[in-house]
Formats: sequence, C-alpha cells, structure tokens
Amino acid sequence: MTLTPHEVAVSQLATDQTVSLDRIKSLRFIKNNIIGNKTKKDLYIQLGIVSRLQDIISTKDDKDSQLKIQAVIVLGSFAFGNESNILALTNSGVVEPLLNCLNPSADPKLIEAAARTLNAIYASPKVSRQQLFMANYLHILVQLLDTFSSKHRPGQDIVQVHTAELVASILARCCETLEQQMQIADSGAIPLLMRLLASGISKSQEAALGALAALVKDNPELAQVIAQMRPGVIPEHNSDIMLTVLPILVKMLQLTGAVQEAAPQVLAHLIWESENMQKAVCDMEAIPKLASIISQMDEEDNVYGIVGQKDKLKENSLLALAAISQLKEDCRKQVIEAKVLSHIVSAMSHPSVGVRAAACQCTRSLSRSVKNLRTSLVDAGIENPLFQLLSDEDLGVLRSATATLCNIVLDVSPMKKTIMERGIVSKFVRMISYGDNVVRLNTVWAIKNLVFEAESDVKENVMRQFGYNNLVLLLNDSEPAVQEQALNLVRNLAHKREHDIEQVFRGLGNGQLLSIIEEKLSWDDPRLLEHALYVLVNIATGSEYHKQSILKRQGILRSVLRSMNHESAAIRVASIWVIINLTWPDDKVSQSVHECVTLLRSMGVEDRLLALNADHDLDVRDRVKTALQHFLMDQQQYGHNNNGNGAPSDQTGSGIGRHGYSSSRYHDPRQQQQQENIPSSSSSSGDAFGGGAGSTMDTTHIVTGGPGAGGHDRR
Amino acid sequence: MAKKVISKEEWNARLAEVQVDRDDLNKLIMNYLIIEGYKDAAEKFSQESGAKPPVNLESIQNRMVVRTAIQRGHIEEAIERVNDLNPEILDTNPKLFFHLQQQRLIEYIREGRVMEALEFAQEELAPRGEENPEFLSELERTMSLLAFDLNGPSPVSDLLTPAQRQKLASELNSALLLSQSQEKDPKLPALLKMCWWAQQQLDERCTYPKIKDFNKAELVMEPMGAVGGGSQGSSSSAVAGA
Repeated sequence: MTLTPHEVAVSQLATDQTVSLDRIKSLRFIKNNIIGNKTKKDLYIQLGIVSRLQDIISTKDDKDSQLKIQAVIVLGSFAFGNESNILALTNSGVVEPLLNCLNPSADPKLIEAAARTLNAIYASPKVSRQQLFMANYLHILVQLLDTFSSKHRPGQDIVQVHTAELVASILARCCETLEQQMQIADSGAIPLLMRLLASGISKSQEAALGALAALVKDNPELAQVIAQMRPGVIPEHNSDIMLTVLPILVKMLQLTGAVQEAAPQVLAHLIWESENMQKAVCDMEAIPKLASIISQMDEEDNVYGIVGQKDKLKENSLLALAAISQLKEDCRKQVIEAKVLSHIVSAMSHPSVGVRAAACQCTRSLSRSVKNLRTSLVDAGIENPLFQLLSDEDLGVLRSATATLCNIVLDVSPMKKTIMERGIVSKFVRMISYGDNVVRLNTVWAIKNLVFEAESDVKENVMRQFGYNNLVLLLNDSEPAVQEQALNLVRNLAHKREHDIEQVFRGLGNGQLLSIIEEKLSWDDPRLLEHALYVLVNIATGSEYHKQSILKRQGILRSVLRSMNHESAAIRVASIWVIINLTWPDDKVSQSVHECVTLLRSMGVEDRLLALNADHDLDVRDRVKTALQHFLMDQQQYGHNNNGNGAPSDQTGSGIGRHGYSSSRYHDPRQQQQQENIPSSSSSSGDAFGGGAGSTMDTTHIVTGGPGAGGHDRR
Repeated sequence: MAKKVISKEEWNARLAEVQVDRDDLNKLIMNYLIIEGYKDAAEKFSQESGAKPPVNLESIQNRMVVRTAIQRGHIEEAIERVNDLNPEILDTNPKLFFHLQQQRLIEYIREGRVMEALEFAQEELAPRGEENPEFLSELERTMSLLAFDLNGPSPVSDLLTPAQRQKLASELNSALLLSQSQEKDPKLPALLKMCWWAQQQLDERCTYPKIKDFNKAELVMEPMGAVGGGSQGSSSSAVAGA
C-alpha cells in the first residue's frame, strides 16, 4: 500500500537518521499544506504529528534553529484551526517547550514564532495559564516587550516589533484573575506597554492597549497606576477632533434613527468646556440643524400626539445646544436667532426628566449673556417654568435650575424683582436642606446675588424669610465653597449702610458675627480669609460700636496683622483696607480714632505698613500710602511719634481726600459682565470704604446626571 | 453673480504664506515609494534626502517578490513566500487564502492541466466552499471556465485577464502591509485627488490660477477677456515636483 505524501512527510520527521535539511523540507511542505486549510490540519493531527513536533522543539540542540522554527510555526498553524486543535496541542504538553523557546539568547525568529504560537494557543479560554506564571517565564516574556533593547540587530526590527505585539497580546489573554494582573504589573510590564503605546506603530499600539485594558479590568489599583503615568503618551487630539470628528458628527445630525439620537450627545460631550470646539461647531451651522430637530419634533408631537417616543433625541439635541452656547456669546446669539427658545422653554415642562434637565442646561448657558437676561429670556417666559423646576424631584434638574437662577437674580435681570415677588426666598430654605452640595452652593450663590447692592428693606425681607439660623448653618457648612459664598453673602448684607450692618449684628446675635469671622480668619484657607477680611472692611465702615467690637478682639487684629504679610496680594490689600477703614479720619482725627491708631501702632501695624511701602504689587502700595496718611494725620494732630518711625515727610496732611476705589476683583474674565460692583466711595456722605462682594454670574455648568459637577468659579 | 477674481500675484502671495515643512514633503514621497514597492528608488531617495525609511527596506523587496510571483501566475511560490514572511496571514484571512487557491485553479486551467485542476478543486477548494457559501459560488464560476473555449468569448473570460492577477496581487500586498502596521494606500495620490476636488469646489465661486495639468503642476489663469495669456513664472504648488 502506498503512502500519501502527507504520511511520508510525517514519517520523515520521526526518523533520527534523516538529515535535518530533509526534515526542514518536510516541515515546510506540511506548513504550506495546512496554513488556511482546516481539513489538512485535522488530517495531520490524526497522523500523530503533534508528539513528533514536540520532540523537535524540546531538543536542547540549538545548532539548527530553522528546524525548530518550522516546527513551532506548524504548531501555531494548528492552533489557528479550532479549539479542539488547541486542546490537542496542550494535552500533549507543548506549552512548556514553547515557553522555553522564548529564551533571549535564541534566534529572534524562533522567539517570534513561539510567541505567535503561544498567543494562538491562549486564544482558547480552556487552556490553563498557570505555566506562564511559573519559573522565570513571565519575566522573560515581559522583557520581549522592549523593542529598543540592546540586542537590537539591523534587519531584525520587524521581527522584534512583531514579537512585542504578540507578547502584549499574550499578556492581555493572561489577565484572568486579580493575582495574574498583579503579577504581570509587578514584572514591570506597564511602563514597557506604555512605551509600546507611544511607538506610533498601529498594530503595536493596538496590542498594548489590549494588554492595558486587560490589566485594569475590575482592578482599580492598577487603573490608578496607569492613570497617573506621565501624560503625553497619548497626544492631545483636539485639532484632529476639530478637523475630522466634529464635521462628521454635525453631518450625522441629519441622519435618522439611532445615529441621529447619539450624535448630539457625543457632540455635547466633546465640546463641553472647549471654547474653540464650540466655536467650530457653531461655524459648521450645527445650531440651525439642532434647532430644526427640536422644533420639528414639537410639531410632530402636536399632530400625532406621540408621547415619549423620541425623548432621548430631544434631550440630546438640547444638551448639544447647551454645550455649544456654553461659553461664546456669538453662539448664544445664533441659538436665539434660530428661534428655538420657545421650544426650549416648553421643554422645561416636559414629562421626561432628561429633557427637563437638558432644557434647563440650555437656559443656563443662555442666561450667561446679559443681553439675553434683559430681553430674550424674559420674552420667552422662562420665569414660570424655571420656578416650577426649583421644586423638581430630580437632582440633575435641580442643579441646573439653581445654577440658572443665580443668573436670573442678577441685578441686570428684569426678572429679579418678579421672581422675588413670587416668593423665591421661601424655596431657598427647602433647597439648602436638600442634601446636595451643588444645589446648596448654587442656592447661597443666588441669595448672595439677590441681596447685592439691594435696598435695606429687600435685605431684611430676604433674611426674615430665610432666617439667620440658616445663614449660620451655611457659614459652618462642610463644603468650603459653600462657606465662602456664605461669607460673601454676609459681606453683601453688611454693606453700605450702618443700618444694614446693625441688622446683621442683631440677626446673628450678640457677638456671634465677630466670633464667626475670628474663626474663619484663623483658618488657613485663602478664599475664606479674603472674604472674612472684607466682611471686616464693611463692618469698619459702621458705627463707633461696630468699630469697637472689632478692636476689642485681639485675635481678629492679630489675624489682620498677619494677613498683611500674606503671599497673596489680594489678601494683603484686603487686610490693609481693614486698617484704612478702622483709622478713617473725618476732617479731624477724633479721639476714638486716635485711640484706635494708638492701639494699632502699639501692635506694630505702622511698622508693617512702612515695610509694605516696597511691596511689588501696585495696588498694595497704593493702599499702604492711604493707610500711612491716616497714621501721619494722627501724628500731626496728637504730636507723638512712637518708635521714632515718622511717616515719610513728603506726605502732608493736606489733600487727604476720599479715594475712588474700583475694585473689581470678583470679575470673571470669561464674562462680559457680572458685577458692576463696589461703590466708589461716595463722596457725598463721607463714608469710608465698603465693598460688597459683588454678584457673580455662574460660570460653570453641571453635566446633567453626571457626578462630576463643576464648582463655581472660586477664588 | 460674478465670480470673484483672484490674481496670480495674490494667489502666489497666499501660497507663499503656507508653510510646508520640507521633512513632511520628503516623508510623503518616501511613503509613496515604500508602499508602491520601489525599493531601489527608496534607497536612493533616503541617501539623498536624508529621509529615514520607516521600515526595513528588505520588507519592500519581499513584498515585491510576492507581487511579481502573482503577476507571473506562480501562485504556489507566492503562498510559500507569504507563509515564510508571516504564517499568520493566510491562517487568519480565509477570503484572501481562497482567492489565492482560486487563482491556482485558474492557472491550471489556463495551462490546460485539466486533471490536476479537477483534483486540486476537489481537494483544496471544495472544503473551503463548504465552509463558506460565498466561496462556493465563486468556485462554481471558476470551474465553468472548463466548459468554454479559453480563447473564445465567455461569461467568465475576465478570470483569465491580467487584471484578475493584478487584483489578487493588490489584495495580497495590502494584507502584507497591514501585517506590518503600514497603510495600504500611499498618501500622495489621495492628496492629489483632494487638490483636484478642492479646485472643483473653488471653480464654482471664483476665478484663480489653477493647476490644469497635474503632470506639469503649473498654475494657469483662466483666460479673462483681453488679458494677455501665457503662463509666466514658476509655480509654487505644494505638490509640484512630487
């Protein structure tokens, strides 16, 4: 009986007498027969080839690597067949000899072939990964990821790159347990994978990403490690996104079905917080497209009365509009011009929570424009639905509604008055008891804006309803940002009139106001420090009693003195303002002011001021000059010169006048306007300086439903 | 509405403002030479321009050997080469593998080796057809070559054209490039197409000096009334001299 050529080939592998050249020839014959041919793979396995191949790859004889290479390749081709082939290989124990082929001193082509075959074997989840983690195999494997290793030889670069790709893929397949993940990480694989990721070779990058993904799967610890690795491994692709992704997404808005639904959402996430991208999308005329999607849906709803069917599309389209109009006034203008505002406003009362939240996000973006606040938003009747949304049960809705509210109650807004009349303040009480930091912060912010520059009766009205006890709670809030805004609120309340200051004194109870300020000053938080100092600045414009209550507190005075050397110029300025207002002389230095000056002088305030004459900050130097003039006037009138430190003689007492202050520290650079604040010292009344905290427009936004709520602009 | 007219001077001034990095141009050319398989030219260009080839030039040679083998109808040789280069390609790419085997069958038929053709179809191709119905219909079409006069007209005569080999050679070349993490198409022709398309778009809106003949890459102003014609000056297009 004659043998088939296949049988001959297999039999030739067995004979030890056969010269290796013939065996290589047979192996190549077999290889070219079985690659791509499942039937032949089965045939050869039945002929018992696997154990013969295993003999070949197990020999310690390294003289002829070609023989081994071809045998390993043939084994690999079997593994590309199906799972039963793979199990046939592993059952006869090929994994260990294959791992031995990875020896770094071996022929790189053998290493590559072995890695390929192992990778194909590990494609089956039924194969045990155990052997890989034994002996030194893992270490050897990981070193192969290093394509820049010293033994790099010319002509071998492709082989090395392939090997690294295969190893990364093997590692990805061997991350089945937490322990395996940790062992791979401990072997130093992560930095090498990151380097592979930065190689610019697409297949390598793909393989490296696969391995990294497998390492962090359900493994927060390793995820943290990788997240903290140097940024820049993956370059910023913003310009790519702008040039390629955004136009496609904008085009997709005109498709139908699932794509149309998803496109605006992706768009919104991509351009969030990026002014350039928002502008780009605006230029691509995305706004009219989104507007027509939204208005068309409303028309269809009216005709067919379909409820709920396309809510997601509406929500996402609104979200995209909110994102586009988030930062640029031009974009907001386009939204208004697209005549979609009425649809946005009606969406604020939509049955779907998502749509309501998205619509509110839109009004929030739009309300960042003074022009819109004054006109379009009023005309569109935003006030009614917004008021409703402040009682919404959904957190996302509540967050964006309260943020919008911050802008609606700005001084420039005609809605400020009407929304007050509706009884907004009673809602505040409920909102601050809502256990959400963002809602609470937005609420304090809104109250702060509400009482900014307000008449005494308005302030009293607000606080009567809101309650000073609630203010105390906010001043001691667990969130520093809330505390900061609460201090801001106190600052606005105690601003401008002696009567207003007195109201706050009474409202907070005897001495409690200053105790709170004393405590905040002792904190080493620059944001709290500055606002607390300005509360003092305002109190110091009050009555003799108000001033005295400050002077009686050594702790406060020491904090003020210490703040004069603070690293932040803004805080130095604030603390000097306290001194200026406390020592304010009218036409003549009164006895009480003289006592105050004497006290401050004894504490070393004047020396500190003299030292600050050389401050590098112009604003600080200007304030110092004013303060020193007060000390000089006192000296000229009462004649003693403590410590021999006379004030500079070129500063004469004449001509001390009121200063025009324009302090616009609270101005947000991204907004055209938010605060026409801080009274220039009114020349009529001879007031000392007093500064309101300013009302500020909200500048950040909250991703609906997302946990990563942005804080307001804090400083 | 009258089209806007952009003068040659203005156009040249604007072109001069565009900064094109010399290195980028060199990379473009290198990319073209490598993907199209001009190994010697790539070597020379590398020496003269200093542009580093991103891959081992040996790999170009290998690809070209494979391509030539297919174009000559030596399919078996091509398969063996590919398996030597990367044994994974044909094991993981059934369609490509089928097309190679199909071409082998075509070559047997072309040479009149009918018995071998039948045997080969039975042993190699029929099992692939069972695995994939798409292959089966292609196999049937190929087998029908046996029913027609090879030199006469037939519905399947396209299988015998050089274009059929060419198609396969390209498919295989792409697979090899892909396995080496390289793009399968050179960038330069795509850029030229883009340039041509951009001119088409621009034609609707304005009159400007345009490239009419991409071989010459000269900027030619559309004749405008009595203005004297004739091209003057040299062009400064970014693709000139490619």
